[in-house]
Amino acid sequence: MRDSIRLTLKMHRFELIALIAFTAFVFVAAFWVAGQLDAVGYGPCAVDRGPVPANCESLGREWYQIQESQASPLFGFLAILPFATGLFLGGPLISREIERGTTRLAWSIAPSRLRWYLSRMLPIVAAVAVVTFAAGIAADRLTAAISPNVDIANAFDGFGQRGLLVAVTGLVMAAGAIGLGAVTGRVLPTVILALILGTLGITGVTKLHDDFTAGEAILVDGEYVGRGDRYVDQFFRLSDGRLVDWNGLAEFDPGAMMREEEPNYPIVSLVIPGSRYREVETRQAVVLGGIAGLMLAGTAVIVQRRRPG
Amino acid sequence: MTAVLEAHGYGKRYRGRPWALRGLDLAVPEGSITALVGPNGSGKSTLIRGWIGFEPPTEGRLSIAGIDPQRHRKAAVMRSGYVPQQPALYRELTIAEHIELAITFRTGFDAPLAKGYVERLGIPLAAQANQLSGGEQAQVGLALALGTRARILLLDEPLASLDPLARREFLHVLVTAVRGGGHTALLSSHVITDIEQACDRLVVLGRGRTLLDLSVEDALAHHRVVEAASWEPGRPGTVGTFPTTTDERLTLVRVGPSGDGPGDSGSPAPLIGRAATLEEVVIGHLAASRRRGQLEADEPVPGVAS
Repeated sequence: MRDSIRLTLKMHRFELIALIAFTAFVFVAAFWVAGQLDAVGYGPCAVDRGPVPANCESLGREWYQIQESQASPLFGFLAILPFATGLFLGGPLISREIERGTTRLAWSIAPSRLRWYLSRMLPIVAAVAVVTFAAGIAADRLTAAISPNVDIANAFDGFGQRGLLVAVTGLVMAAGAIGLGAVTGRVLPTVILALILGTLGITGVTKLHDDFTAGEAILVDGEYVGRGDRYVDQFFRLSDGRLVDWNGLAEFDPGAMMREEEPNYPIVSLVIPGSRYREVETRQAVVLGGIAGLMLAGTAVIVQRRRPG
Repeated sequence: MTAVLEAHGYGKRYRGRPWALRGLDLAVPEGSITALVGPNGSGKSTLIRGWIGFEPPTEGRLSIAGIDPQRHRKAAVMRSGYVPQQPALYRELTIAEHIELAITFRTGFDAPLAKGYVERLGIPLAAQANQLSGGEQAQVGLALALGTRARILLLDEPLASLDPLARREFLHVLVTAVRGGGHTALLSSHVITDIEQACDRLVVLGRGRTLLDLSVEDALAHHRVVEAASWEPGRPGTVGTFPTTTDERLTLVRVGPSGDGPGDSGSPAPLIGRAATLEEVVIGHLAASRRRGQLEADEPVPGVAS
């Protein structure tokens, strides 16, 4: 088994070295930039109410300058990483073997194609998990630095762009690319198709999960969402207790819309409390991870049935 | 004679294309080295890939050592060693690593045997696959097939890209291994002179069917060539007419065992022409097959106005 893992990793050493080096760079850079942001000491200035230190303006300038010039590009890299890792490690895994004809050799020696598939797939999926999980940790650290005074373990700041979900996104992309590679048997079409279908798929599943989660939102009084909470919607509470949006308010009290001042109805917000972050994150990760698992299992079936090219 | 590779009414048709093979009946005897010869597209690779379970039949069935390769692919793979048409080695791996990989794929893979073959040919085990010549890559493919210790070797045009010396070395290794180890080998090839030296049986495929299935000895004994000009077309025993490189046209004639008359009629006749070479036997049958194909294509289809 150890030999099989070593040889699989060697076959993909170019992609692995490139992605590991890139991830290592982004990881170190993210922690370094986060340290820079922390060192500015902007936290006491980033409060909703109450007194702030006198030098907040200069601290804010410095803090935003680091955030814009260093943290933002890093977030960009971190957003690309799970997609790139999934595509470049998963895409060629089977498609390149079929394209180059090495499956003819491998499948004529290996009585069990399932064993061949597992020996190829498991080390690469593990590598994708390690690389993207490192990216997720880096994104967590950077999010914590740009959200001073927020406990990011209990906050929806940067939801989907950090932590476990980065790793799971990478796994879904990899699983999709591996499966498409087994179908097409060609590297370039696999990478292009996997990019398009993977992005659409992940966006679709995320949207469905968001809609589902919105159904679990709770009402809190006030216009301002608490730090770390996830905003879903906002309503006016009418005197009879009903909750209405702007259209509902216009119907109920047309005069309120004409007045210059804000409507004199209490505002209530629909939110998912930040304290539910881990639970919601884990649920989405389980859904996406389950899809990745199904795609990997489907690929095993394709490998069993297809011609070696 | 026990047949270890059999085809019974085997047919294969790829989607949107004409039949690659149809109604093929064939039996390759155990312990033989059988040459499978035919023009490009005659279905040689399809047939070989069918026996290893890579191609499901469209009709009929195949068997390898009595096993249906489609239903029991694992068992079929365990009984066969396969050398594909083009060397299909992992360019990122060394030859030693290919052998390690084969060990991880297949329980009982004989690594010392495979290494022994590679080393005997002077191919460095530490060399990357992409540093080897086409001939060396084919030899490594053969060594890996032999390392499986499978009794049946399926070789799909492994000689195609090899120079004469590499071909000779390849065939030497193959013949030594087959004769020494009691294997059966099926070798598809275009290179007739090599087949004559290495193979004891000849199967010619053309237009999706078997044109000839004889031992090499019988194929030579039962065919003669005559000048086409001196031979009346359609005489009993006529196989086909083909041109030579010197603008001459020869006709291949099937004769009795002593070469004294048309083999099909069985009637004695005076000694005719000269002995055919194996290449002429193959070319004569392929030319006849092509001619038949042209005649079939020219035949008007009933009910269709021309």
